Amino acid sequence: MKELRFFPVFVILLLSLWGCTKVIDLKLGNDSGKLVIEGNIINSDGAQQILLSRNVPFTSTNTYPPVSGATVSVTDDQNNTHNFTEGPAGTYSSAPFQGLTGATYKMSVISGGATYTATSTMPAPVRLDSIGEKSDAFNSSDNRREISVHFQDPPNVPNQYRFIMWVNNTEVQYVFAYDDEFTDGRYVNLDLVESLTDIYPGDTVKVEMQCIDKPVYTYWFTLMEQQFGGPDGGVAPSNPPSNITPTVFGYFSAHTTQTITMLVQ
Amino acid sequence: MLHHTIAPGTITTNSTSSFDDVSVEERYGYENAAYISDDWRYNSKLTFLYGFRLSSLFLLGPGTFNTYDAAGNVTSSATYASGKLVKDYFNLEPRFTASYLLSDESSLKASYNRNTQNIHLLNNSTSTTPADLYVMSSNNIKPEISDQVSTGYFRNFSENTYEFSAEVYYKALQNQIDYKDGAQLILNQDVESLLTYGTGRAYGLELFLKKKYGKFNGWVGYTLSRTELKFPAINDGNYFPATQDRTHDLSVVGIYQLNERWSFSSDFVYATGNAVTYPTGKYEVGGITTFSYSQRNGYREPSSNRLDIGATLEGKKHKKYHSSWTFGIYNVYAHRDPYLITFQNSKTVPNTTEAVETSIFATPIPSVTWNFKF
Repeated sequence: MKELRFFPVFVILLLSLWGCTKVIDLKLGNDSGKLVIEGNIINSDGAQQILLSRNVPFTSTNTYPPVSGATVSVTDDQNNTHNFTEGPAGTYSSAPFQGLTGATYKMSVISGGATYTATSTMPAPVRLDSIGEKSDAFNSSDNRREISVHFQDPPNVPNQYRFIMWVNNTEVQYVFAYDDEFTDGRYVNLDLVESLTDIYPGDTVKVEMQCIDKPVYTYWFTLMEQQFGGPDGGVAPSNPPSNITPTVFGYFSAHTTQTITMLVQ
Repeated sequence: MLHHTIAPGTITTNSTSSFDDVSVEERYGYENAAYISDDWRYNSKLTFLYGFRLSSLFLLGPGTFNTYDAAGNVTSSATYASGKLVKDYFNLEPRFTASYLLSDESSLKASYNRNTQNIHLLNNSTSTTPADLYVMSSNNIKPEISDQVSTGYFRNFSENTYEFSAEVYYKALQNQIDYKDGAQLILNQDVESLLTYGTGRAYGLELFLKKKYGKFNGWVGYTLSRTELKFPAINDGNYFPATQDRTHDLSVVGIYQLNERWSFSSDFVYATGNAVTYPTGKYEVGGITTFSYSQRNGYREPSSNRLDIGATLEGKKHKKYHSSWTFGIYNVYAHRDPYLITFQNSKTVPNTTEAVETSIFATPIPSVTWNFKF
């Protein structure tokens, strides 16, 4: 038996597919007061910084209580120890020194009776040639622009990169982490695709390129994977794997840094 | 006998591209099964059905096969020529059912089943890289095994106008698979290094009542259940609800035949929402607001429920063709089912975060269908 069907109201169905959004109150739990350690050693001569704070409930404002009174130090693989002293509350700084490519640094933070340690190895620097801008591929209306980065990836070595973007001195709240699994040895032209900050001609854009080691890459990559997903995606979001033991929120990263600023035309 | 080829994908580029050529090795396997069963009538009331299925999988070369430890590091690597056996699995799957007639109208049943599965779907829809991957059992991935016991009571009454059943079940799951945190999945040549293995359990009660005859008929089905998973590397090694765990699942269907030409129908469904992981706190790293999570799948999406109604008008009888009109309204009371919940910095209140729900099908949807058969 043959069968014919007509759906004259298919158009109505399509129209009703418009989504609607609203802010909701989910009665989320109260997870707060846990230690967050953010340690960075960079390849420019200056005071290196380690930040200690605590997490707050989802419903609080985005202000994070600093953690004072910790004992913080970083030791390199020549057994030179750099002691960090607390300046503003929760901000621990060293006397000026320069992080070296290939050196492994060990961070030690003693706070609240516990000792937290982490190691990170500074990779060789890769030069960021230039940053560019072009019409936004997803939304080219009203002349919206998109930023790209251009650099030569060194062949036959694994490289990991993190980019940070500021638009008119405000940091874009988006993690950009990439490795060279598919681009080893290539000249890389990469678009920093994000939808949180609109970029227009006349804006000043600053991009920092960091060369990071593999565990730090895994940390940022996990955060990047989760930032658009939301919890309904199928794989549950989770805290990114920290390289600090015992596990706390945050990371310790020895990385190279290079910054380029441009005026969007 | 089934022959499986799994081709995860390739990238082909040219010399000026930013990307390298990448090709993920294909995997080949043969799956075989044999089945034997027998039924045995002990007396007029008690019967047994029993048997077993023998399933086997042969994973074959060519290819390079790495073996990974729990941390995902390669512990050994071996290259196999085309057609060479890499790994074989034999699984015996016994089945057993006993039925006992209590009376002409009622019976009891009890059963045990083992099932194994050699093709596994890995699901990751984290939206920046939505990816479903199929993988075969291998030197790293063991066949998934489920053992289920169930028992039920079945009864017809009012001269078979009504049919009722109640069943309880318990299922034990072995060799469950999930991704580790921070997995990069697209075209990954070591995808098996990103997997973590655990166990699970599912149990529940199913109730079903159906009216089979009369001007008004329909059915009511209700399931109370729980499905939980346990992985050493996830949720501190504690049981957590599976995403699709449904505590309550209710469906009601009614059909009323007014006369030869008009009939009306309605259905209502209600289900507990998916188990999901929501942030419980937040902190800042790299100048970016970051959410903290304390329990895997510790929250529930709102329950979903919906009422649909419909009416069918049969056309006048013709010898050569038959036509009918169906008028329906989907989601009569415009229930909003959440489709996606995102957590973000507030766009209206500076320096705070908010949860935003996106939903679709928030209006009743009328439909008209003309059916023409010839």
